[in-house]
Amino acid sequence: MRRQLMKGNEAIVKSAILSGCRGFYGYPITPASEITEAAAQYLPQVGGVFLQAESEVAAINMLYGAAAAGVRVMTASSGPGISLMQEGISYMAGAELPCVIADITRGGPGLGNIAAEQGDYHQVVKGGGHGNYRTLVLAPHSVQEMADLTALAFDLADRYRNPVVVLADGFIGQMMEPVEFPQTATEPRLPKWAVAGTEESRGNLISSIYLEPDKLEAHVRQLEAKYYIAQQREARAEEWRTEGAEVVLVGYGIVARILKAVAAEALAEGLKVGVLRPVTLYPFPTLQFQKLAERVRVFVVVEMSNGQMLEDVRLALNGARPVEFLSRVGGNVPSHGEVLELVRKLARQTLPARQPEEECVGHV
Amino acid sequence: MSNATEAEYEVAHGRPKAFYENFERKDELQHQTHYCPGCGHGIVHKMLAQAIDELGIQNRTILISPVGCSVFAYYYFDVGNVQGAHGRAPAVATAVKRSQPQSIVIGYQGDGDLAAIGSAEILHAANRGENITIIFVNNAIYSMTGGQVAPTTLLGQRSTTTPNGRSAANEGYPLHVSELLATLEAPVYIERVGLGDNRQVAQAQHAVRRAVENQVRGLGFSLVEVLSPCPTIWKMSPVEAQHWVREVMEKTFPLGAFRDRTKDAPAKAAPPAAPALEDISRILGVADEGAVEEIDAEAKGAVDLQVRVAGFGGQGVLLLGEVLAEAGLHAGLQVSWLPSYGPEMRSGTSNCHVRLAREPIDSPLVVHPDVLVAMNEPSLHKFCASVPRVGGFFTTARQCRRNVSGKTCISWRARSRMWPTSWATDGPATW
Repeated sequence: MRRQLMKGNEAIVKSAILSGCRGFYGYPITPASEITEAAAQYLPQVGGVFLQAESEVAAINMLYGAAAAGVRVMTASSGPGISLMQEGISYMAGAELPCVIADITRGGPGLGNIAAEQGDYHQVVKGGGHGNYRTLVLAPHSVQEMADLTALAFDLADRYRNPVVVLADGFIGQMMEPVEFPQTATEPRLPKWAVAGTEESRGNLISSIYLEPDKLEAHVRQLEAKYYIAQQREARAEEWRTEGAEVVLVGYGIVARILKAVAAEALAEGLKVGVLRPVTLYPFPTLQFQKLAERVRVFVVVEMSNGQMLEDVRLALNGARPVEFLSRVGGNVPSHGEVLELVRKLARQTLPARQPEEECVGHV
Repeated sequence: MSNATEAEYEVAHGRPKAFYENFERKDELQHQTHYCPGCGHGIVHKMLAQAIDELGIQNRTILISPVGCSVFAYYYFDVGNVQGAHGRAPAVATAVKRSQPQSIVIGYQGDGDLAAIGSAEILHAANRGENITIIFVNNAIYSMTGGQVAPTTLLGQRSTTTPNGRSAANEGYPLHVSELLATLEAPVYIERVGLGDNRQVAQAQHAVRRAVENQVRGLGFSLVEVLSPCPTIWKMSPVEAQHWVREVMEKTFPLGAFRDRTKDAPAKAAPPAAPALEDISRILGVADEGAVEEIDAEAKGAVDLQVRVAGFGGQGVLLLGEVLAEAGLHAGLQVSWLPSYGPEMRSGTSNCHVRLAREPIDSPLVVHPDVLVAMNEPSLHKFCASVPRVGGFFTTARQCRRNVSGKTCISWRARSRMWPTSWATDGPATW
């Protein structure tokens, strides 16, 4: 296969089209605009639809329409745009419509800035819209994963009939690395539930309204059952040099790349350090955390946010191990040096292994 | 009468086939609609169903239900049904139509839905000339939520949120949607009709059919605004409400066609056919053909080169980094290129991180570059401290050239353990 140098944002679009995506409705925003631009270039060439909508609100409701009509469809945005899309994401989860949303995060709150941050975790992973729903969330940390996880996102969206978010930061979207794509394009079949303007699909209805409380409760329980299956089957995490590790660094996206560099250096110094990288943020890879907790002394969460994933790590560990936290925000990146310094400090501490401890949270 | 057979009577106005025989999606009273006595929705529904029958498009039709009293339009229409979010029917309809161009997509909206929360979506769908049909039922009030002021509420008209009547000073003037949309180039057909009396109803039926037929003919965007009675919220009898449409509403909202290019509008071109599936890799430029041979794939030896390129925007800073990365890729190395990006503005500075390595690259961030390429003086000052003592500078800044030997390269010393052997030197060199 051909290795090509490509931006993460472009890799998403090419992977999406190879996965059968034939609709893109979006609104420009830095640092996600290259996705929209690449979609504008390629989708019309493959018989797909590209439309720059009047707003993110309109764009996500166009996804609702395209998905209802049975087409694999996606959009891309960043922080403020994702906030505007929450209405449609809730409707799509309620109406059980599949779609893929790329969130190339930037600094917030408000207009914030356009530098990379990870402050969208809560609004994406916890569901920023109303009602009892979840989105499945994948977190690539390389350009190759931008391609691979986008393909996976379309499959998961169809399998669970639910929106799936590819959550990447501005760095992963903007950087170029070699990437390989599968040789052949796929063409998914029209789903049976789609409203396609045909005799066979005439009796179909796409809706999220259940006026009777009993019916809505049954619907919400059915969504819950779906999410439960996803939790059992789809949680993924990468363990990097965790054999024998006493200190495990936890991060996703660009942070995970920095953590690998830090861990490599720490290992060279003889420190027992590994990296646990959640690949799915929902479902959260709770089991991997619990397994590692049996032999690891301390976890160090590093985030470009004020501690949003940190909450899920604490929930997963449930107090079994102490959790340290290092945070940079505003578009600043945790430096190699500051992480390494924390790792050295923790490695010096002689904490007893395999005994529950009181959780200690440090801010650096 | 009781002995009459079907053969003796011709059914002039039967139940349209586009309606379900029994409204099974409704929880109870499945033989009747949920609309109040005297409500205009029932009449408009029947017009639409008849148009679908007459045009023979039942299998192709997709109805987009709004939020409002007609949220349950899908109880009644035996067509494909999609129920959308408040005000978003034109956005939903846009994508349904573009995804299934053979379908006939009809958006059905009330005045709160279309003229208030959905004002952006209707304006832009109309402006794009989407080949869809919008039925806009204007009863000058939010009915389903209990009678709040709408953009189309008349001046002086009382509502639960304008208890003393709508005032121009506080709520502005009634919004004339049809006139507004008729200022746009793209729409093919925009007409306002009323349900004020039988003559008006007949005219309305004609307009609804035309708006759907335009789409069947592929002409483009059509909208029919229907002035429609709401006896319950208006607190009138059905007959009084009908009179009110004709005698009061019509004064603010005059009937008529505001755009009619039905006769001369050309049919829109069909979307181009999709390419064969096996051609898609080539179209995307990811097929094997044209793959560049890796020219130095056999080379061994440790390589871990970290480069930072910095300068003004427009100097080719990012391009230089990209060329480096591309060269590394062709030499069989692992590479990464990471730009610092900023808003598009004058005097912006620019820099990028490039790594070339034999082993997989962990962090693409270059904190301590082996080589700094500084294309201007501010970049040199900003980044020179980040270059380790044994690192190299490569600068075009004039001041530095003056300071150091007048050469473009002021210092060049390799870390031989990191660099390809062919690049390694023992001491400072000049380029």
